[in-house]
Amino acid sequence: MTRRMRTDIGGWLMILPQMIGIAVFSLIPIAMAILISFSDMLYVQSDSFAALHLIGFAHFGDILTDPLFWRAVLNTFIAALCVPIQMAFGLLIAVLLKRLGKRLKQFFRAVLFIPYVSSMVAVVFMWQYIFEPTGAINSIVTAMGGEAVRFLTDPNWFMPCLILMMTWSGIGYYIILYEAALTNVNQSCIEAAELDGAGRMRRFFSIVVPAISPTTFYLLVMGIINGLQVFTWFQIICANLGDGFLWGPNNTGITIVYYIYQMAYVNQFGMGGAGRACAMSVLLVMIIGILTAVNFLFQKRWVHYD
Amino acid sequence: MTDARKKQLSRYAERAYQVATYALLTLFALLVLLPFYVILVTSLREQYDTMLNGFAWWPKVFDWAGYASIFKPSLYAISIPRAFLVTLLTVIPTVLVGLFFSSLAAFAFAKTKFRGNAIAFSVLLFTMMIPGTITMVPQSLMYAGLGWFNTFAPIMVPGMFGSATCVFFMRQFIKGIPNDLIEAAEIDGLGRFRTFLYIILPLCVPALISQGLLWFIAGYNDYLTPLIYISDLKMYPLQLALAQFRGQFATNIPSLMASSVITMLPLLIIYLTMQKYFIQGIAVSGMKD
Repeated sequence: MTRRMRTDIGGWLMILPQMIGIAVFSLIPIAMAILISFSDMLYVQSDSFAALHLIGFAHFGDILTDPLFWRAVLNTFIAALCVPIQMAFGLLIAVLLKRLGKRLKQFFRAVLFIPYVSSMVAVVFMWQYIFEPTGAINSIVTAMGGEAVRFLTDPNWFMPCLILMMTWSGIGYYIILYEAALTNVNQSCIEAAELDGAGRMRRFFSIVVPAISPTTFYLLVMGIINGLQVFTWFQIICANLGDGFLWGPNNTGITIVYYIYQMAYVNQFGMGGAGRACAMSVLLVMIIGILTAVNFLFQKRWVHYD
Repeated sequence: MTDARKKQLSRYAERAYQVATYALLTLFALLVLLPFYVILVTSLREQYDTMLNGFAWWPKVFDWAGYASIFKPSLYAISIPRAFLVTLLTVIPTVLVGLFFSSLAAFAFAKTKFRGNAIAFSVLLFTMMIPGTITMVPQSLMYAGLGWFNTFAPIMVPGMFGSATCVFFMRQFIKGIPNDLIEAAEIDGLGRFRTFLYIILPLCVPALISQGLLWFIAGYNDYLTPLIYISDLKMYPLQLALAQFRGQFATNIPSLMASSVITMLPLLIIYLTMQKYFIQGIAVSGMKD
């Protein structure tokens, strides 16, 4: 055996477990999902795949004419607003942190990152209690003479509350990535601009923002991929709200993946089952894929790698 | 305007800016901490007080019954201490085995010029971008076929093969290890695998800690996987047990809040003592080459 072949075999042996994992738990399931999306499979059972019965594009037609699906699409995009919100506040806080001394910086960073390590279920309890009709926010509202608001069962308030909750929970990640990006900005560039008479705002938007654009791009791409799959928050809250609030108040709590989950695991028969759930997930991947492709196409316009 | 006046003005501006910085950061920090304060205070109140009077900023009487209820045996077969144990026993082995195979693959990707290296690595990057939703139902079918429903296998097995994110991070880290070190090991007669075991892994400890911690947190907080696969109440991991706790104690708000506090506490302690590793692990995840 030649040395070259031994290197090849050695290399592949080392990546083998990882590659098996990817093949078995990602690549094969993707192919299966596409196949299942053309079938009438209802329940997730051990013999469902062996008894696969193809029915063509029926599910896709049904989904695209299902008003609840479009509601879910709308809600998902509204919920994804927390990505730009987190980017804006994350950058603002990172800029502010940069001005602090070492100890204070560490303190604030530690505090602001705590929600990121907190369990989602506990965080939901926490916020739900804050939004209760007799909860913390309403205790302030009523103390100021206002009328208590039923935040989580009011269709106008449900989504803003969720966005606040998700922003609160995820902001630490954005702060840390932006902080890391800011430390890599070329200081002499900023000083040169200052000597040329550029004001604080001008320096920020003309030098700092372009310099950190790769991080912004990364956050945007991953934010869209993850943000459009938002689900667990909605599932826990709607389950806690109880009967009559399966999709939150007035359907404001249905997101694409929440719909898929209910279809595949809970309400199979009534909603079209596993087959339609897979068809919907294929559509979701297409939406995310198109947006990601657009992102990559337009990155030349505004992302600067040096 | 004279120069001195200008200077003084800009000094005022600088001062104002500094004050605004402190004010804003304090405000944000309070907003982040406020919800924690709310549950902490509520967890220490008396049950009838919370039902009668709604929210209060301070307990009338400090009552530890909420915390005591967590450790009492429950009628519904859900026990937070046992669920905590289940979580530890399922997450820790997964993370350890997964870290090992991830860094093994990362070593190959970073330091071995085998044919197919670049292609295999792009497949890996591709799977990192694939929305996980699409694999949810087919994975369930596979697990159903394997008889994995209501076992810990769906929580544990997939991660043990390694995680793409972790490979990516470890590859960056191992790239920074000088080649001389590896060549020296090979001259000493260590094979590829033993070089990894005895030279590379010990050097990777800081990176392994930061990846392991992030992975542990994700596993500790995972709610969806057990929700789909675990139906036996006795096998509930922490997050599921906590969610179930609500149904059981819907009217016992202090108990509910106490269970939330107790659930978050271990991670909070780990995070506060090992902050440095977290920040590093996360900061690097955003730097792609």
